[in-house]
Amino acid sequence: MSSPACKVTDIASLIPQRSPIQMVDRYIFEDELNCQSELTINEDNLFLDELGYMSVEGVLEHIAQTSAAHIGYLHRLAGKTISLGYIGDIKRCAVTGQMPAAGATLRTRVSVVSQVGNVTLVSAEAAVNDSPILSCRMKVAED
Amino acid sequence: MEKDEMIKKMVAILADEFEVEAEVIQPEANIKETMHLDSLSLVDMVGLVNEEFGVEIKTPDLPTIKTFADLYDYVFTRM
Amino acid sequence: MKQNGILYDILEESECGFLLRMRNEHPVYQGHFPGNPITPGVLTLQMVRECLSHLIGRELRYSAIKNCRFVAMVRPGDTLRLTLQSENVDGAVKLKASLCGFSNPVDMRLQLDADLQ
Repeated sequence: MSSPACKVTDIASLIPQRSPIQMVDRYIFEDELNCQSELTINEDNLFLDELGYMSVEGVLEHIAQTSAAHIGYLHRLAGKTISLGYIGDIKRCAVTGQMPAAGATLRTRVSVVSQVGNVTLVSAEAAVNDSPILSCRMKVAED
Repeated sequence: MEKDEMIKKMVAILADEFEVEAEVIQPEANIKETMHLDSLSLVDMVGLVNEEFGVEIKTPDLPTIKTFADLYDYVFTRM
Repeated sequence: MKQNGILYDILEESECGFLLRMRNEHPVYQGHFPGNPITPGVLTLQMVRECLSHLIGRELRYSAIKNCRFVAMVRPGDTLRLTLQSENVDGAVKLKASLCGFSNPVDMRLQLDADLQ
């Protein structure tokens, strides 16, 4: 494995999603089971409501793409190509804080709980200014 | 942890997570059929075993774990 | 999605459900995925919330999702039947919803158990 806390900003090298639904700016590898990511929310983000706040769905997409980026990063280390990933399910999702507005930076920590074949179960927590806003479990399936 | 104690804990956890009666979790019963597991919920089971017992079930080993007795043996020998 | 175009049209609506058609064109398909348009799962979740908000008459947001299962993909052009079962409990709306192909209830796409406020 490479050195800890390796940061990747060329997100297109890790996930197949592109603008206008690329929802990760920076991916930070910690170890095989853990990573973090950041997204600075632009004014034209797809998931902003009429009042300018991000929807819960937007935060969930950010978590899904963080998980996909982690899987993509591990594939890249193993010399494999990246694949399309889909959300299999979302469980134990609790909204615990106010959704961020444009200009804010969303930070997410993702930990791999288990993996069977092409399905990875992660536990995730998203925060804004170090305050947790949402936690959930999610399964990401690769094609 | 004794094996009996481990089995008791496992049955309680599985029954709760997969919403089945504890009575249907018999040692010789088929895991997937009893708890109606598919490829997604199988990952939940593997995650649960890892979190609750600190045992990581490896993907290549999964086909050998068919019954609950197989699961108990696998987990107990690795705890 | 205010400035980003319309993702779907409501063909029919009643208290327990909606008939929906995914539009063929939407900016999101440029990026999800290039040359292979698939409706992002979270946007089907948004569609469910928007339909329930429309039915209830106020804007709702998810406060908890107990289980949301993306059973099969939704693609542009799909016609879908959304079934909603909701009740008010202490100011929150408890929702059970499913989304399936309009002619075939076995063609399940999404199953959801969530709370909204």
